[in-house]
Amino acid sequence: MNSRTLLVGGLSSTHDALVAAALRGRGIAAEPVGTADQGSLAIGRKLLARGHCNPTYYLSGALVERLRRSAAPGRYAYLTIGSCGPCRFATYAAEHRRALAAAGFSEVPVVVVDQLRPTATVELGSVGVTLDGRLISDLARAAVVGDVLVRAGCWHRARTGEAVAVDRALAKALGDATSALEEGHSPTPALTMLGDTLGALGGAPEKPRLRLRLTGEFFAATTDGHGSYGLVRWLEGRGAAVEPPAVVEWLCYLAWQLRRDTERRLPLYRPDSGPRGLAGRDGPRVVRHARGAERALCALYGRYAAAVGVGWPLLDMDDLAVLAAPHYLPDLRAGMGHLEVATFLAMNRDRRADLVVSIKPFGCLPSSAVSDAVLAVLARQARHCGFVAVETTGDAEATVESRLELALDLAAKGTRSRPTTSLSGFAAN
Amino acid sequence: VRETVFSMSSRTRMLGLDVGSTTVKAVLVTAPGARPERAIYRRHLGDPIGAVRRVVAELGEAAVMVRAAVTGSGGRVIAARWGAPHVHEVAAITAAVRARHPRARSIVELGGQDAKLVVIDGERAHMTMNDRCAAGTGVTIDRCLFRLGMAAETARGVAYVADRARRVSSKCGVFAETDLVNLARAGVPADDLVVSLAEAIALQNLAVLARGMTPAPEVILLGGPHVHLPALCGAWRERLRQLWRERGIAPGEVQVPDDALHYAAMGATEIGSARDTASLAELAEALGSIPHDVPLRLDEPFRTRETWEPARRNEPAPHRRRLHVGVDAGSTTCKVVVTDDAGTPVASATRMNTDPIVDARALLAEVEQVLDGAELGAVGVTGYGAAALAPLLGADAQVVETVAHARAARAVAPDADVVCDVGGQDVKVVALNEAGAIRDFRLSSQCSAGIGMLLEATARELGVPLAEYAPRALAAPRVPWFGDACSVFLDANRVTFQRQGFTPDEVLAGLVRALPRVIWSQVMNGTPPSALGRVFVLQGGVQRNHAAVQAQVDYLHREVPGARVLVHPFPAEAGAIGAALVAKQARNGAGPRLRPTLEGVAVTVRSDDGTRCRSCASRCPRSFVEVSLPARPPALHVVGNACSEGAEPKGASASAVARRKRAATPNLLDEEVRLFFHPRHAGRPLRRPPRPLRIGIPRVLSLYRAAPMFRAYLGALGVDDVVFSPVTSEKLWREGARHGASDPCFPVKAVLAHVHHLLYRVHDGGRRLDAIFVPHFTHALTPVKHCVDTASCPVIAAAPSLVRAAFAEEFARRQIRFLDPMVTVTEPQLLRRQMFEAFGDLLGASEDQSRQAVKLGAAACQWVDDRLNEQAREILDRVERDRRAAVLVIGRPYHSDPGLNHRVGEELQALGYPVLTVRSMPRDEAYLAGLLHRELASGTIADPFDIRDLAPEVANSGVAERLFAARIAGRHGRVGIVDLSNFKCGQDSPAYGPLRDLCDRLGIVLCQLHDLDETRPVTSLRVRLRTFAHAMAERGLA
Repeated sequence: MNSRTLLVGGLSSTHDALVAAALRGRGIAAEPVGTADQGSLAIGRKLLARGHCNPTYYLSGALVERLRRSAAPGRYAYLTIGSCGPCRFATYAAEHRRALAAAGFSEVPVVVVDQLRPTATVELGSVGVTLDGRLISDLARAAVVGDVLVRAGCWHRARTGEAVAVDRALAKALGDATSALEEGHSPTPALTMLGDTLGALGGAPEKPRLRLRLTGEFFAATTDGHGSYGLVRWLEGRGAAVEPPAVVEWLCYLAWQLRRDTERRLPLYRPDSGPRGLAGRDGPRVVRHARGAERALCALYGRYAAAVGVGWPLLDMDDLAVLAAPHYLPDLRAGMGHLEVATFLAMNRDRRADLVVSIKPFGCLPSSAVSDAVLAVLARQARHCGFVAVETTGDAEATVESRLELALDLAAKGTRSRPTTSLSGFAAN
Repeated sequence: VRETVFSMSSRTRMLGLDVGSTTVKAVLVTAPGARPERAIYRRHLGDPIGAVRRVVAELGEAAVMVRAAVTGSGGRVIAARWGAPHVHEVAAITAAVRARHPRARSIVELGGQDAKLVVIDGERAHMTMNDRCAAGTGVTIDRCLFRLGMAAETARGVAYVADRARRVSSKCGVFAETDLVNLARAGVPADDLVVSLAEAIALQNLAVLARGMTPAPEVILLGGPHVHLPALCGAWRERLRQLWRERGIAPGEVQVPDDALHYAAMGATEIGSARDTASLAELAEALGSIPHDVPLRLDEPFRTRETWEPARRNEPAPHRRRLHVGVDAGSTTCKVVVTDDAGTPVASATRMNTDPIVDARALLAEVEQVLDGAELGAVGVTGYGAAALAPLLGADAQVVETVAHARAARAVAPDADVVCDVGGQDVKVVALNEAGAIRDFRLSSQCSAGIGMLLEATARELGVPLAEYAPRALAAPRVPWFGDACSVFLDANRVTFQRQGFTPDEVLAGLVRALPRVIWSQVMNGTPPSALGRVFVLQGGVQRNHAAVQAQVDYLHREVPGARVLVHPFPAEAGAIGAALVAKQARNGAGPRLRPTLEGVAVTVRSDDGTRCRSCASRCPRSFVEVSLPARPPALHVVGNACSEGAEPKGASASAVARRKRAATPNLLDEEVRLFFHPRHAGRPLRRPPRPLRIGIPRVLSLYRAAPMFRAYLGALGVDDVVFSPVTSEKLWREGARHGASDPCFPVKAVLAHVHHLLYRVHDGGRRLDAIFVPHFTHALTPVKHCVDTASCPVIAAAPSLVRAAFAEEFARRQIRFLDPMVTVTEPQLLRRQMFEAFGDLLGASEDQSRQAVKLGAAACQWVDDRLNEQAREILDRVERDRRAAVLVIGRPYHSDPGLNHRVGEELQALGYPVLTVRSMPRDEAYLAGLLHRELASGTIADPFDIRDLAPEVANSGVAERLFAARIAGRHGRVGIVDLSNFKCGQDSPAYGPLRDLCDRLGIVLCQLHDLDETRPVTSLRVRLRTFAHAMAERGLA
């Protein structure tokens, strides 16, 4: 048993609950930290220097809020994912520590799991946790279940027009899946039951709805809290069918990165050292494992998505790299990298969405500064899909909504004559 | 405003209503596309619903039947209430323009908060809106004019003259306001300021709003700013014609139509209107009870009153035998005080800024009587106009503003720990030690400036007299939560709150509640007030607003247990009082002095083509101020110069003294520019390529580190002709600034301008380029070890992708090959592979030859490093030996570019400090081990290149190097630090906290120059550096 209860957060409330359940299923005490709201943002901003992207403030604030509500904050540790950058995501953990220290919770450790080398995290030992292959598999499964539940909500709300009934069924399925994961059982029965319930809803006849794909910075696009201004529900309220991003696509991207970076270095005369160099590593084995992980994740998602009747397949990482390459090098690493550009091109090519909405924190380096610039050009040439980018500051939602309303109006007008949009929204830190 | 009288018939009309962020526009038309029978334009003063009700009542007789259509950001709730369609304003203006101007290809509409561009391409239309940093277009113009004390009518009479425009950033309203105030302080004529503002808005919109598109003719300009500021239309015409010329587009018309204010309202009726008719009376009545939205978060209403402590108010000495004069020529006002020995004013006078000399002369005349019969002890001057006034008044002391405020605070509160001065433009927070010396100081950056003026401007926009601000805000029942953002974002929130139904009083209360959060979050950048002390003295003109004081007191009491908060008895005059006290001390009891006078001083300002600076190709506009003194030859001063090169009328260079100091004081920032691009790196070729090639490389970003490697590589493989773009200049930036499709930091945007230079100046100028090389730098080589990684900033790494997106057509048209390979300098084997893949074919080189060339490149970099390290070591040894001081300028590699560092190195040289750089700091392990022996002995670090104790998870090269260099400076003991960072540099923010902690721990004097952008922050640079020099001197580091 771990010595401290792990607090987990940073995804949607559905994902957070399932990840905590998966940890508990392996005997590790864990709780969701809670969805970050406007109050969390205010706390984070007050405790930290300015200039960070706002997930830092939201997440630090939510953590401090959670600890302030606790009678014994010293019994917790915060579990988070880290990376070696190069965007500010790499600094989240350090800022969480600063925020905890400033709020008087120095005794609460922040345990960082490297997203590319999770098993190498030595800090987990300090809180009595062993991150082995099985636990990683359980956590990935929880993420996939979370994706399927979130996407099932979007898919069926748009197609049945029975939002209340869909939400009720989802709440029950989340409870069932959480229990299953806690007890170390498969979540498949819970998902099958959900699929049956949703299938029975029938609902309103299919009517043409605007099809939206959500992309952008990982936190802003994933959270269902204030960090996204509750964008999914807002867009659905205006008649759109929203395809949210999937956490599992991110996991596939991580595996693909590992594979791509390794394959690129395999033919070198001698291996280099460094985070991506192959000195001391078995390159072919890394490639095999990464490819295996991608396939396993896709298969798992496919199975669960079929069970609940979600028709959105996962994006293929190799295909995305080919699509993006002429415009944004797939070997550049930061945030979502080339994925935003490639996702838009895929949506346009496959006519899978009428509009791509990119949401990101104000001044998100990879997304606002780079992807948006490339997409501004590509969106003008696209015939089947529009593009709109909005930035979140945590305030002045009305201005973001104004830009989205324009994009929705324009996208709704149809196919070939659809005006394209390239809008920027707002934000402040 | 057209309010045509018409005969009311019984026919049903269409009502178009446009509810914007600051105004309401309404039209009545008989049919879609018809000219309005009646059109009304009103400011809504923060009450859009009430304003709409009044406007509807004014439109016509109550019984007139209409079908309504609504547009505008504030119109949705009204549309819902009326059962009318709500049309997005961009769609509305597009419809209106299509109906009236069939040849129009582009529409630019500027509103109070939003800017919109529509480019019409047949049936398609590309639409963009401004991002948030550029928001507040109309509001920005209003505020700038208000700050300049210029009536709207006067501004309307200013014609655009292209070569009178000065460099003003319009990235956001705050930046523009700051730049204009600085230019005004420098004596730039008012007409030039209006032209500069107009030029800045046009350029910024072309650079950002257009997102790489070309607004083709015919161009229709809509919205209030285009109607009310003809100079703006002139700027559009000039800049669009230039753009069309450059891009081979035939010129066309740029026009502001008659009904430019009402196009959105007219367009709304053309897209569709309500099915049901209603009378105007019914519509007005329907607005009676619109429920307010429930905001997510409310702020605390004011409950307690008068909980702050007035600082001790010394009674004036009964026998005022000796008096002193203090003058504070501040950002918005000029003040003169006459004080006794204790610093208690016996007379004071204030007036709004026009010209410091004119103001001071008038004010001195006002207080002159008080000096009769008394002996004059000393005269001190402070503020932005101090440099001009001090010699004319024969001042005993010219005092930095921060020092003046600190001195004034100590006079009324001898135990003061923190002085918080909030003026119209700037916020200054000064932390004092027990002896009253400056321990730490922070000044508002570009982003956090203007909060004081925002309170005043918002009150004005909401129709609330300034005198009523405090009572109305303090009585507000609900207070919206404004957060702690910059002035532009706060103003955007105001619009949201207005839509949610908050009253003007409540909005003002929320805004003033945000004031302390802005101070302690934005200005102090996360340093909590409790870290600075317990006794706070509030000063500055904003403290006359009791609501502002109450908000700060509540905040400080909440954040600092046991805090004492005192308000200076003369908050607005505190700077002038401090100047008088410092002058008295400087005079050190010497006998009475002559009374200061500016009588007989004549000032004339000239600003024309003859006053332009001729130091470089930019030919920046500037002004000459001729000061004529009785019985003395006239003195000529230069104002509004962009850099120190333009500080003398003849354009030779800065003053002789400054020049001498610079010659005697090394500046390694300049040395880096010389060494990185030294011709020696070309070396001898290993081979010749199949044909001679000319390759262009923009002198940007990480090239300020890796240029020697690429120059040597290309030279070794036989490329003799490598053309680097010049250092960044205003001219280069202006010419190439319109190509980006996003708005990143200035250093990255400048890349596009440099590539533009290579294309349009170098290639098109006759030196044909075969290729342009802009590598994707994924990493940087640093001396730091044990980091998680040393990656480049992701925007820098991806900058070549921005170049490709912006110039793909230009490259193809000119048949220039664009080379943008990945370059991973931290992995030697991979780097060799990458270079061969990039150049092997082009240069016909074998892999072995390419590998050999990479080795030569690495040697060239090492040669530069060795030279820089040697010179830095000499400086460090010399200042230690001579008991002098040096300054380490920490920044990114591109901060060596004088166009990006705004010549801060020269300023430091002029202050007498040798300038060190991050790259130059010694790497000799034995030497460093001596400096860092404490850390090594305690096991805090594994070796001198270990920074994990300062920041354990650093993955970015810039952050790692900063901390490494800063620690060496701190342990050396005689080096202060100037920290450079650009606006929107998210990658620097993780360094702020650890750097501040390090400086506090090691006692390093730190000066932060953050939020740098395209314009040179002349005055804030001066105040910061002079305060920095003062703090250095107080620690014996002169």
